[in-house]
Amino acid sequence: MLIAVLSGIIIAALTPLIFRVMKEKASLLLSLVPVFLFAWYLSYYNRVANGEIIKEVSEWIPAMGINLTFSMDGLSLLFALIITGIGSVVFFYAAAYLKHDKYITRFYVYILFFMASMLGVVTSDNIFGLFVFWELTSLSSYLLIGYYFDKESSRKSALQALLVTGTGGLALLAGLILLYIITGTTEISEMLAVTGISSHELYTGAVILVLIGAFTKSAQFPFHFWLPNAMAAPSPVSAYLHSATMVKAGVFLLARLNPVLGGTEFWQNTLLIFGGTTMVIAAFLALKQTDLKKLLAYSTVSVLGTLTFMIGLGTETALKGMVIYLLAHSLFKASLFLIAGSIDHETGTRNVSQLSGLKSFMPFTAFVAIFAALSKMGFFPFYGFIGKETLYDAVLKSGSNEILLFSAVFIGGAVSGFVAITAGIKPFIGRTIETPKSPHEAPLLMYAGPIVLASAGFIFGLLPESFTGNIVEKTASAIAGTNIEYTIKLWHGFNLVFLLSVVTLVVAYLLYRFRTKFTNISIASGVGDFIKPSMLYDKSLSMMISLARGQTRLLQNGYMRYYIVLIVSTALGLTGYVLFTSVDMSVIDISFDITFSEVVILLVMIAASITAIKAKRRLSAIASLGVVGYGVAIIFIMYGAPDLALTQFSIETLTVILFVLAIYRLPKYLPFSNTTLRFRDFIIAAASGVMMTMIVLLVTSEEMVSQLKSFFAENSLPLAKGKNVVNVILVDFRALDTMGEITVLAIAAIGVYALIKLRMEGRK
Amino acid sequence: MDLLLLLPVLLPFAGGIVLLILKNHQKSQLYGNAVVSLFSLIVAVGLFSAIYDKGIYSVQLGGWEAPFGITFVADLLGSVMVLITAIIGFTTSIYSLASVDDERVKYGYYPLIQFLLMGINGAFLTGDIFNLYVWFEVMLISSFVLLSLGGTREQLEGAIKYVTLNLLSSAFFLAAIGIIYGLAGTLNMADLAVKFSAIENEGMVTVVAMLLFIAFGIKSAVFPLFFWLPASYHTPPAAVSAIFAGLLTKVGVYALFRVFTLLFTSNTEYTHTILLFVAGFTMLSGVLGAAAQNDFRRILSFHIISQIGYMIMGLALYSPLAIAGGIFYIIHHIIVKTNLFFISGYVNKIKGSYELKKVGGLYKVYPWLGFLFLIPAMSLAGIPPLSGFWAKFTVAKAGLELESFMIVGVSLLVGLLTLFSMTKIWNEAFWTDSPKDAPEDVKPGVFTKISMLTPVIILVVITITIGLYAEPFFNFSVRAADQLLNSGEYINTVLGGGS
Repeated sequence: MLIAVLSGIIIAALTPLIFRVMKEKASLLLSLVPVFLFAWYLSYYNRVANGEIIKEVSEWIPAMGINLTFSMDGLSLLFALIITGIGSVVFFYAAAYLKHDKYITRFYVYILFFMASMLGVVTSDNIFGLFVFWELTSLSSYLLIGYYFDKESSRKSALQALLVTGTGGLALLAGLILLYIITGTTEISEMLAVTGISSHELYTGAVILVLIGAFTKSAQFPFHFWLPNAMAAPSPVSAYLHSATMVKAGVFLLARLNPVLGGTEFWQNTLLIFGGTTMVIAAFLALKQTDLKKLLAYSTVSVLGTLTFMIGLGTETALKGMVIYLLAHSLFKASLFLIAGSIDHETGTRNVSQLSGLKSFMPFTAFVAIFAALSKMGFFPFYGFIGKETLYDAVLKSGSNEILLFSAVFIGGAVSGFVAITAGIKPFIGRTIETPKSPHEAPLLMYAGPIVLASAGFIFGLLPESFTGNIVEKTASAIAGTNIEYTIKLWHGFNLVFLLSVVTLVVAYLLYRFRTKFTNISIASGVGDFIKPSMLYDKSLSMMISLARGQTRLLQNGYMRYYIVLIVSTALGLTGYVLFTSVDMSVIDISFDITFSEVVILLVMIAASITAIKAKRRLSAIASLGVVGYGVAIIFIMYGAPDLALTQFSIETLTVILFVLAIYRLPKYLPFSNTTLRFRDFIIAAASGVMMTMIVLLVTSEEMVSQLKSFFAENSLPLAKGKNVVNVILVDFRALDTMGEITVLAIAAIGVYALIKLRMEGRK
Repeated sequence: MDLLLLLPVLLPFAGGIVLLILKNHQKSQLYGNAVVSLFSLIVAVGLFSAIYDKGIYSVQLGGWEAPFGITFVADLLGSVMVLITAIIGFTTSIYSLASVDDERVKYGYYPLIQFLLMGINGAFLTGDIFNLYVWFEVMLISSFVLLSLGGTREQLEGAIKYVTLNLLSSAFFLAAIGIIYGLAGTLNMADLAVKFSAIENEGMVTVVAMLLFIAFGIKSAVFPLFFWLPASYHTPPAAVSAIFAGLLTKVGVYALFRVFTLLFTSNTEYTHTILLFVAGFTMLSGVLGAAAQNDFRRILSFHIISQIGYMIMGLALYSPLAIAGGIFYIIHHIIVKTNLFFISGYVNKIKGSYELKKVGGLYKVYPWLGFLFLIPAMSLAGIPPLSGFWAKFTVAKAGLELESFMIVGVSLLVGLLTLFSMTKIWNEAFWTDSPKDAPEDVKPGVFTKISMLTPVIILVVITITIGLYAEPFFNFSVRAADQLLNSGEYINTVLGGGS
């Protein structure tokens, strides 16, 4: 299974080369990749149908517990077949749809990459392996939504999808790590054996985080808004990623983890509520769409809600129905999207009100569309009919709140029928309306695939048990975590469920018939305008940006004096806090014997400092600082360090002289601060001074013990052959320091030279 | 072996001097520097593999036994830092060939690069806290001159802020060293670790820890001490900002890792809690700063800050896994960040600007450049399976294990915002069309392409390798973290098993 995933990625990497060699034929050759993979996955069918779970392990990062373990049960296989099967159709379709597109190479790179990642998601047994592929699908979705990158709306939608699914991805990551901490394993198959997960203290947190991940990906309320916007992508992408596969990854994850995390009231009810809400709200929003693709997109959201809802319901019938519905939806919705693409391609418009009577121009397309639409409506004997019947059955047998739950499902079903009529039937019947391009049949490649999909929906409907019985059973078992046995039948007789099914169709027709009446006035628009989480997205994005601007203007405001104040205050706060809380200050000994000369020097230095601060001109400030420096030097002399004093004298003298030389070239000295600021600066400066003094006093209050002093004194002459200990330290014991500092001076010299000579202003 | 430990400092030192002498030979500057960098890389590989196989190694300079002289010591962290420095030094050398103008070369660009590398390596290898200060000074002065080299108004404005605030850091550092010497009577870090663990006056040790935190915090550009970085990194030539972005702040981070695992380990409740808060605010503040920018390099600069936060988070959480995550993060970050700056320079070469508003349409004409950008950009944003994801993953996992939910939440949110600003660059520079009044693209010649894109490709390959083949890198980080947390081996190697 690793091979299947890797081959997709490797071929994606080779795609530019293949296009260079094969030119236009490359797209057809590449379309064979999903076909081969479909056949390859199909070869597992018998083993999986017999209840076998095939595992495959390749070590990756065992130290982190992350390996490329794959396992194939019904659920994985069903998804893998959907991904490669619909992939085959979409790849061929795109070969015609994008034939003259300049960037067709990039399209195939991304979509191959996507397909491989998606296969990775559905076959991974390792949660982090799964996560890696999960994020890669988000990334490839981003690049595909932005395929028409010239358009601002494409770029915006791409970003929105990425940020919404990215948010979910991060939540999911945290959730999976928690799950790892709870269960102590990274393999889903091993988690199944762990007991007591739901009573762990981290359980609720893990569930919430995982659900955010799944809900964002599968466009559940309140994250649903990105999906309709993702329709900016080319139609094959919408059909493939944003209807048949990627958006189902969230549902897949819920299904996959259902036996691990499910079974609790919290899990089931949350799924039920969010799934149900999504189903209903998206249905209302679908009612007022006029763009073919947006209409289908909202209907997809509604279906995704239904699938989540059914996992939440959790009974055997519900899970069974969920699997059937999922398969049926993948078949008919992908077809409808591709047909929408064909219509757009051939007529130049996707506006439903402009489309009518196309059947005489596009007979094949019309045929597929109507087949797919009938399945979507849940018309007898299509596969969609079985899906809907099982769903109704499950809800009616759920045992609590049946009426509430049923009304939600009914709304979803009726609107689904409405969408099917509007998108699949309406454009082809009735009288002809003029379209931007004069319509004609799409090329063979663009209807051949959809014909296969739509026919499958029909054949599966006629012979549900022989074609899909085993896989549906094994998939439902995998979701439930227990063995489910059940036979799918097309016909259950004239019962309540059938009656309700018929009523749904009638309502769907009525909705269609009177659609113009409520697109403007009804609750649909009211609900749609009221509940608009996309506004929340816009708001939080713009709030984040203004917060970012604000904090950056505040912090990085360009004034050095402010930077210095902040740094010094931080130092003061952190150090001062320790000083006052955990240092015994009573040890400070302030009873020095102080001589008269010391007092004089100190007073002079203090006076000089004050003069420097108050100085109105640079020159006097610098001269005063020189006095302070000289004072320090004198103190050095008094404490027996004449060499230090000499150095200090020369530095001070040189500094003053250099400053005086430079000072006349500087602009006028302007005081920038007012009294308040000066006072603040005074406080900070004084506090820093006091703090450093206290630290020094604290350190000196204890006798210093050091082996170094005596070692240097004893060994300076015998070992290093030098009488002056300080010199020996500088050139021998710690010679490297001296070498470093000399280098510093040399580099400074280069700098001075370059600063004076090299002025590149205004040059490139 | 002794020589091997010193060569990372001596080689660039000697190289810098020779290049300085050959100052007027344009060709020998270019290729001489490349050769020196290549040798440094070979030496670094040798040193790294020696330490990797045989464990920590130390040299007492001038034969003066520790703690009396200066000790050089290489452990896993130190030697891997030297190795990455050599990789960045080498790639920058190639990148500079075509991207740095003749005049800057004439005024000592290459010797300065070598001196900078010397300072950086010295900092990673020294075992003496005062000697560390000296290497910081070497680094500071050479980076200051590199920043200001060229003398444009913008450069000088940035350079002055850079040097002033960094001197402030030096002042704190020096003061702290004085106090350390007064407290413990020694400057050798291993010896200090021994002395500090036996000291009665623990409060004073924490005081010193705070002073050093300020000093190294300024160097590492953490909140709220980072101002010098965004003020200066966007001003010099791309090669200079690239090498700065990769290495300079990481020397500060390295120093924090060193002292907060070796010296200040007794009062972690206070010190590491502060580090944790700093980590959170650094991440957030940096990433928000980036979100507010519209210039390629300014965005990248603020991201450095934000990612320093992740590294500090690893240190602050202070579990073996967390520290390992921090180290992994450093390795990943240096490679990726340098690369992004390289790419920004190449874009500037084509488009003549770093302003995103003035740059556009790259994806149409240069899809390969788009790919080369996407890899490090997505790695930075933590998209799996690239290097940045494993780094983020490890740190986040360590945090969740310790139930530090807040900081993990912040780190994940920051990941999202990082993704946001990477897509901003992608969106504006690659997807959106060039503005109408944009000048014609400058098509780089073959030499320019080779010189500027080879380093990019090398670093992209490393990024992908770390991502797909993360196991050895992760194991290495765990080992390096283990060495830091169990400082016995370090101390024994330096002090010769005694004391």
